[in-house]
Amino acid sequence: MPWIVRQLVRLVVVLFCVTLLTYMIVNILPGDVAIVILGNLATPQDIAGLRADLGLDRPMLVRYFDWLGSALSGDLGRSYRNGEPVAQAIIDRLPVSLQLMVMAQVIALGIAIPVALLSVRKPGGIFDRISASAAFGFLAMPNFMLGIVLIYLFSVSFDLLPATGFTPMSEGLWDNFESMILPSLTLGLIEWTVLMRVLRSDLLTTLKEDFILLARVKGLSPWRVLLRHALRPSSFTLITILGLNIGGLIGGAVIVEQIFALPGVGRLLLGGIFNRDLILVQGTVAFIAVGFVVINFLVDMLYAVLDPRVRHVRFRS
Amino acid sequence: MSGAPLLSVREARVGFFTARGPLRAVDGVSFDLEKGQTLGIVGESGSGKSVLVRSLIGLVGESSGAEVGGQVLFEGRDLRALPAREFRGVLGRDIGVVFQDPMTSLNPVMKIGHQIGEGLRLNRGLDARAAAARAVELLTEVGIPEAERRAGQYPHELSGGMRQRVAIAIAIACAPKLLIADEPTTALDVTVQRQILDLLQREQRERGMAMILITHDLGVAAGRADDIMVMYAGRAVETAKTRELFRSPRMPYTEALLRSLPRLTDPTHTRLSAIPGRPPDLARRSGGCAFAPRCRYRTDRCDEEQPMQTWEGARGYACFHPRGVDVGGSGGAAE
Repeated sequence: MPWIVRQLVRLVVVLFCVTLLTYMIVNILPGDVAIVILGNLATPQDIAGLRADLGLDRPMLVRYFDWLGSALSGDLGRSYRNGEPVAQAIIDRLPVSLQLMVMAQVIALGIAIPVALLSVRKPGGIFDRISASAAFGFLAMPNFMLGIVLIYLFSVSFDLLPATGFTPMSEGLWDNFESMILPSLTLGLIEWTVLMRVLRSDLLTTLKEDFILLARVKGLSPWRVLLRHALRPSSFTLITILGLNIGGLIGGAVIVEQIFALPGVGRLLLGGIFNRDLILVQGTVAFIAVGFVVINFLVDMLYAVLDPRVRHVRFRS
Repeated sequence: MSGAPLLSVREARVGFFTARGPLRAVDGVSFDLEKGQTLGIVGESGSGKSVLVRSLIGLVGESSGAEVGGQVLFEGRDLRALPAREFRGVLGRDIGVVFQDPMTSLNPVMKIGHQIGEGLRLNRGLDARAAAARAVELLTEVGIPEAERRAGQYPHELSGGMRQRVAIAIAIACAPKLLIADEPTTALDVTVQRQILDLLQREQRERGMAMILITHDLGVAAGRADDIMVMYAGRAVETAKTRELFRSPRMPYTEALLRSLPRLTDPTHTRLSAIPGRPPDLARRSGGCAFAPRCRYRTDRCDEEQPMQTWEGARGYACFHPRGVDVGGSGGAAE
């Protein structure tokens, strides 16, 4: 089977499993969107009537496949609660989440790569040991706690950055940037640790290769050897982790968007869960799952860019 | 031979600290190499020949956890005393190295032409375009057809023999005065080995380079080295002109090595003569001659005392019972 077809099949299978599971879990949750809408004082007749209007009285699997059918044709349905089209709700909030994720990744890589390079200059040296301890420290920290610590430091103590809230790009690039720094740091400061450790260990392996000796024999300086010869062949695991981390980042983003009151996809999802707005939850989860699979698909493509040997295997034979 | 030697090594030592205690991988090796000459360094795996040469050019040193001693003079300059930047300059301009396995010695994610041109740009100040053009010339010179196209390819697209040719092109790119070939044919097909050795020899002659040819195969060194240094357990046990070494080895180890080479004049199904025993464990060195346990001429003195290098003109050996020389009645002509 050609590679691209395999990827597509994978996408379909993942989506099916993810959406079916979400559907079942949200159904098991106690509570009912009809009660949420009508309030506690509603009569059982009113509730039953609304449930029938929303189609909630039909069996779960029927509703699921009903949803799946329209989702496949591009219609994610309308929110039970306020009738807003789910697709539109996601599209409105997507830029915030994307910006958060990109900034977090840039921060994580911006710390991880230099620290890894400095660490392998002298393995077991002072810098290496300090950076390892720092990495484990940050890794052990839950992101909601780090978020609160950062708010305390930068907003409460020094009043440098806004604590919560979001300024759209249309209201000023710098203000927008300021409102995104702390949330991105919260995610990035935890993510860099894994990236750094992985890159460090791959660099150490690469540095033992003969072609590194050959580069040194050419008279290249140690930094040049590291940057020009060792970094790229050491980055494959890093790229893999980067792709897989997107999943963790989405999970983290749900919490971080909540802490910093960012109107992103994560908060949309959380709101949907609280309101038992099944159709909204379903659509958001499906969207996130597609995003995850697509990003990892892109990561796979990136291997080919980085490693000519992969290009060779994948596209010629 | 005129003036000072190109490379002069005195009492080179390399020690490693292992889990089983300190280990002397190279123990007091000295040699000279004149301009344009070829020195073959021969020994079994673990004899220290690669470590010796790598320590000379700084590839084995403190950064790899080794302790290095002795003096290395290149054109009269003490390499070990040079500041790092100057040392890299000497390495890049004047010394080229071909490693054993061309599968691992080329960078897998860098185009071949770029790998050849890199040193030229750094050490000879060529711009990118000139370096690329020179890389193609070098590829042609080392016998790679369609050099222009090959320069744009990656190492995995070439066969092992081709890659070793590329490695040679990289080594000679900056017109070095010394070429170090560390088992350059061991990882290659037998049919390709000869071509690579011939290529090395041709380049060496045309460019007047000196060469150190490291090999475990006396046969490889035989036709190509001017001098041969035989190493055993980290020591140089015999050094001689190639012809003399083959005609009359002094050291019993050399003799045993020569005897283990198959000869065309032998009748078919003749058993090859192997050297009994195994190379010594360097972490558990005894006080005596390292070869003594495997030596057919061993006496009690060999077990107790380390034989020093004895020199007869340009040839030296470290043995109490040298073959072909009458020393105190214990030696005598072999058989």
